[in-house]
Amino acid sequence: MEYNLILLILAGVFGLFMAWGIGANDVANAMATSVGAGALTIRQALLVAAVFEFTGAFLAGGQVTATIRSGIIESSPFISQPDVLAIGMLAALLGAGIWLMIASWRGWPVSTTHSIVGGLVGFALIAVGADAIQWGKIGNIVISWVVSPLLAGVIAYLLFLSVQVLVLRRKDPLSEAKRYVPFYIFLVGFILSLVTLFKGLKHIGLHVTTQQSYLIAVAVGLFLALLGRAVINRLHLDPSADIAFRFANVEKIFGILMIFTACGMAFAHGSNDVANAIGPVAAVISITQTGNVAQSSPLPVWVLLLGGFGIVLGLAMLGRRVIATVGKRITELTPSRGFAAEIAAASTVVLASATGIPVSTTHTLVGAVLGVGMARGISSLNLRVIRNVFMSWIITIPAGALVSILSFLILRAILLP
Amino acid sequence: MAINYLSGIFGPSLLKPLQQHMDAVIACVSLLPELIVNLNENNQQQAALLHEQIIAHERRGDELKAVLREHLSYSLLLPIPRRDLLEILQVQDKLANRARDLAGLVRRRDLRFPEDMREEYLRFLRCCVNSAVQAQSSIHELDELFETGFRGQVAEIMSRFLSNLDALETEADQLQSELEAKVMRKEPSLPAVEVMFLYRVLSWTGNIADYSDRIGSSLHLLVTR
Repeated sequence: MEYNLILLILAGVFGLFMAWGIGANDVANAMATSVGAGALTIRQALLVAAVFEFTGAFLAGGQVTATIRSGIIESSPFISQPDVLAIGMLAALLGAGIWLMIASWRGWPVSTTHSIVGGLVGFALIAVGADAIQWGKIGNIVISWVVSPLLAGVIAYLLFLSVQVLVLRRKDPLSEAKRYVPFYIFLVGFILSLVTLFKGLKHIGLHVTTQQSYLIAVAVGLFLALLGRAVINRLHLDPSADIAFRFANVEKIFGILMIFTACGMAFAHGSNDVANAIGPVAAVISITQTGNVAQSSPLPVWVLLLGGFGIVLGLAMLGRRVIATVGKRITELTPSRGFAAEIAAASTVVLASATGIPVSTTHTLVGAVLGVGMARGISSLNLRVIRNVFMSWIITIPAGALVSILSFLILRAILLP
Repeated sequence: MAINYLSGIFGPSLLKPLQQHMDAVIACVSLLPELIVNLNENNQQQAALLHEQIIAHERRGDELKAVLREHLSYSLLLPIPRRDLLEILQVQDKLANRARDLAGLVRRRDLRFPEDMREEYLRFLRCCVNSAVQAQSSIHELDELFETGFRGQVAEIMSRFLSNLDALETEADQLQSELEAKVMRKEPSLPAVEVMFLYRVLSWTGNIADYSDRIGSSLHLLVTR
């Protein structure tokens, strides 16, 4: 019992550390787009992130948590030695956390998702061998890391094209913006809630039929669209701002849209990336409580709260600065572009969450930004950095695995009698 | 946190430096009429001052050009083909060089048109400077054009600017050939060397409208591509 308590405490501490790292970096990236576009202040971004990261993790994060808990590592080799699996989960958390700290300190384009998956693979290889890994699932995950930025890129390209045709190229872009922006807000609410309703809610014990799901999603979308329209109508538009730049007020209206897409981004991120921190914690809890590796016990709510708390803590401590510096440097992504990138990234990530696939939110966002650039929407994109992102796909898994192996060996030496 | 890769994917903006370069070029070109007026009135001191300013603006343009060239050396994904951007930059640069050379020529040789031609030459010069200013407005329209993805309403405004530019260039051509005809009629009464340089001044002045029109054509390609 004493021993299990130590494992639990360590899981809590490492999980918090990982969540803190995610908050400091990943979430900051997701929020910086809206801050850079001037749609949110840093303080508002922190608030939005705190609320919607948690909501996303709670309502739609179950599938990915399940994958991280039990979808990557084959549990049967651990039946006779559940302690090793628990220590391995701790090692994966610690390893991924350390690797993330090194990488973000060096500015490498590394994702939390890739690190934790690498970490899980690493310890399982050392503890048992290649048999302990569900290679088919890993294959799917790795393919989705290539597919998700591509998909987000295509969606963003089409969305930005639609804005050009429907609003920006028209005779009176201002009134067209007022007309169409609520529709885009509807789209955000509809897609995110539909995906959540289809897949996510069963983890919190709610069951809805397909028809109900569509109805609720339409209702959520409509509610948000009407809310958005009310905000737009209250918006103070200054015609003199349009003299220097004819689209100043149009961008202001898209700025309202970006508040909604920022919420969507935080929700999507929460639904996918919070699992990186709490999945292993949930596994350790399940093992210590039941004494077996079946992973059948439900996810305790306090673990979700721990994840949410860690993220907000990281965001408030370091993420604030990251948002400020990143936001300052990506002013090129004006609201009429940024919203397209954010809707595309958020939809793609939520879709991945629903299918239980852990993807990298930041890489998906990079893909979406590239899509806008392909539609001639961004004044210049540095392709060298894009190449580095591809490189990081190849490097992160072995690096995350290596650090996790070291952590595992050390932890095993200390914890296993 | 050394470099954040999300912000790293955004390359340096190229429209602003291109516009700043054009502003320097126009600052240089638009001093020419004043220089000619002062030379005609034999205000050597004021002329020298203006000449210096023209050279300074041209130098500033060269510096901005170097910055832009450096930016273009990255592997960047641009909304405008890199080739077109470089072409526009080169022609803008030529515009400033021509203005500087023209100023140098008239100052060094203290070159003046025969008195009955001065008014007409100034009209020609101002027409050329106007076309350069029109080209500058079109370059400044790039912001809005970029916002709309190079199509639609703003592209139409741009097209209007460009046909305006064409009209100015045609007018400048007309004035140039009239002036050349006049110089030819005066050839017997003027020193041969001076005649030669008067032709050169006319041709260089005309270049200003030509280059402005070339900037216009490059921009036209951007909106119709």
